[in-house]
Amino acid sequence: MQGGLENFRHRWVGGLTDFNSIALLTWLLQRLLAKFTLAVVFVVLFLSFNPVKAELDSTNPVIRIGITPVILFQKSQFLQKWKLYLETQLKHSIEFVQQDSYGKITTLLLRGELDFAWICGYPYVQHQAQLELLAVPLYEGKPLYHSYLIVSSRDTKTGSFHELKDKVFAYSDPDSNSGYLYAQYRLKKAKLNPTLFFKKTFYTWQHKNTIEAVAVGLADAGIIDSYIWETMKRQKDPLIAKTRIAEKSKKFGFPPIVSTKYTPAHLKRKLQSILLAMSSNIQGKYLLHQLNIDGFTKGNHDLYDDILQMHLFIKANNHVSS
Amino acid sequence: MFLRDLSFRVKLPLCMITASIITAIVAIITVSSQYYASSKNSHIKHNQELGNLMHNMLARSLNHDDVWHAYSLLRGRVSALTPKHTLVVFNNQQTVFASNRPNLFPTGMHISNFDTTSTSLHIGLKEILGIQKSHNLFLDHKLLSSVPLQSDDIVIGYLVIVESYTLLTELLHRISQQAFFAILITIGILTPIAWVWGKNIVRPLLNLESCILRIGKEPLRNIECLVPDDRDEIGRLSTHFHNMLIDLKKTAELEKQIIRSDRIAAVGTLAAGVAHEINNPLAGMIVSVDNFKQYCNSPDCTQRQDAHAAVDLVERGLAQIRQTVSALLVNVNINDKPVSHKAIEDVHKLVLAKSNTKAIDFEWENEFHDNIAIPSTPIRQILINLLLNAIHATEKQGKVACHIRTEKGNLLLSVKNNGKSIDEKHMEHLFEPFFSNSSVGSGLGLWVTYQLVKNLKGNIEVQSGHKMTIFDVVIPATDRGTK
Repeated sequence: MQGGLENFRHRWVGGLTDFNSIALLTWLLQRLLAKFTLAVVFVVLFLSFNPVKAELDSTNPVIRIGITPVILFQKSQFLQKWKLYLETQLKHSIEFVQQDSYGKITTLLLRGELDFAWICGYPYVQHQAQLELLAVPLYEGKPLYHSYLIVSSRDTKTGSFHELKDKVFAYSDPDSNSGYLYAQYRLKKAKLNPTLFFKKTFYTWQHKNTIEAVAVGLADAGIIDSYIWETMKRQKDPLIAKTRIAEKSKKFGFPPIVSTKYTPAHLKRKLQSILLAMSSNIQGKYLLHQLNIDGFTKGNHDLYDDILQMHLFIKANNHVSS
Repeated sequence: MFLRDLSFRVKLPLCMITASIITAIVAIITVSSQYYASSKNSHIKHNQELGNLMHNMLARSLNHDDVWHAYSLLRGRVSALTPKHTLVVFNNQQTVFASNRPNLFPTGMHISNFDTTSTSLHIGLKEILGIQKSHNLFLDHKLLSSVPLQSDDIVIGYLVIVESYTLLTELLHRISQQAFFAILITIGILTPIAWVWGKNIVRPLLNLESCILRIGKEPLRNIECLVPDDRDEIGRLSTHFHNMLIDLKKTAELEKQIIRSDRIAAVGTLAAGVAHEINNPLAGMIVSVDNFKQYCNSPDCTQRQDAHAAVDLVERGLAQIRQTVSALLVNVNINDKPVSHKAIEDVHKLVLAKSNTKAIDFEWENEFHDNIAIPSTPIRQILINLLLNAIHATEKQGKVACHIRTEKGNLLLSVKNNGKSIDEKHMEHLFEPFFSNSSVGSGLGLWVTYQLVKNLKGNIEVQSGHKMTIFDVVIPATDRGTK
């Protein structure tokens, strides 16, 4: 029940002064043609000012959705807006839960302390039995992304992993596919011991931190999520200019939103439909635009077979030394 | 020296300005060095505090080998400003663990590699790590502070904080700039004030100076000086001068009075003397005439002898009066014939008898053979007077010498005697009328001689001492003009 009253207040106040409406207006004015503006504005205002009655489900607890650094979640304003959107759609109060690492979120998820979570493909394949795909984001039209090997922009020579001997290397998270698994796989495939190959390795715990580490020279190279890199580039983040993509991996399944076996079925269905419908309404589109994704799709576990394969390879070759 | 000649109107402002500049500079130096010293301390404290604040988190990160967290802690909030501090965490193998400037201090670099990078910062860090405890080091406008990172009681690494110190020199530079302008303004304010003040001090001195200058140029009684009331040195000086002026005026008055009375006294003395001299024979003469009348009242005048004696007395008295009066009216007869050898020899004869009565050894040297255009009578008179005096002064069987000669056209007379010397007191008044150190004589002899010599435009000098008295007379033969 925590936040119920607060949510109610938010809905009423939000309609009048909240950044939500103003931002929406601005975005709409930018996007739509002049002759539709007035009509659209009217519609938007109607929608915004539509006070939804607080149908708080007092019998169920708050829906907890875990968020990991698969997205640039420092933009907490975005999360507030999204929360509002989802609550409006779900007619249920929601809480986004953030933790320091993928692992912690995964743990909470597996224990049933989270109803849903947006995680990486790697923990999904590791715990596929207990987790269920809810929705997969569509990035550039497809539910796929890459892993990027990045170096400093001053390093114009490095083109691959095996050129990074005795360098300082930055991983994003030990449970990240694009931020860890892929590098491990590549090195082990080349019969190199990742522990001994590099001079020093460390985790930055967020993809954008890896970018910063490489940009400032804290690490000579790093491995990150391509979606994050491209989104930061779109936002004209100055750190991007200080890095260079040395190598792009093949495509992998995009980090999905999953649910657990503990999650109530009706909630799963509801949230899934809401997520899938986001691309068909204005507010949803606006939020998706903020996320730099095109929408959500149901998805299939086949998408993550490549990741699973890498995972199994690593497990099998854990004792390999260079 | 030029500086000493400057007016007080310039000296005073100069002094004040110099003093204030020196004071200002001393104050600035004192304050600045104090500030510098305290600033140093506060910087050290600040660094140490910063280290203490970060210690726990950094120690934890170092322990867990969490490079990123250490870096994010050192980096702090991401802002557009470049960091003022350089922070480097070392493990206890003296290898860089993390730094907020990874381009300078990359993770994994050992301090042995610092020499190759040759910045003073690297050298400084190497030095400070060499001291294996909490230490502070000033190097090249930077403050380096090392803080040991401890997990429980063992040191697992070090945090080195480098703070730029150039801010201080900038601040000092700004202080001195401000000070410079402050000094300029002070000078601007002080100069007119000091100028006026100097003028005020100088004014009584200038008045005094102008007063002093008037002494000697104007009669004293016309000089009046305004005296200020001040009790300072210049005031007292003015007061003393004023008093001195009064005294001078009084003295001048007194002198005038003395001179006047002296003159009167002298005239009086002369007149009295003359009167006395005239009076003396006069009394005798009156008595004689009376006697004569008495003696010659009888028809046969049997007391003729007495009558004649009386008349003789009168005659003598009159002669004396004439002599006295004529001595007073010293006159030179221009028709007098020029002096000759013979004239002078006559004088010798005249006085010889007198000297013989006293058995005096009379030495006579007359080298005068020329005919100089000097009247004879006064020369003879001078000689006679001097010789008679000399003879009179000499004891029996004494010696008198007389030498007459010419030199460079001048007539030189020299009369010597070895009688009792003239003492100093008498020397002063020697040529004064009616002054005599003998009971005999009118006391006019030398006075007459003096007047005669002066009338001939000559000079007379006397030396006396050790039983030797010499009178020297020089008479020039040049054209004396008419009297």
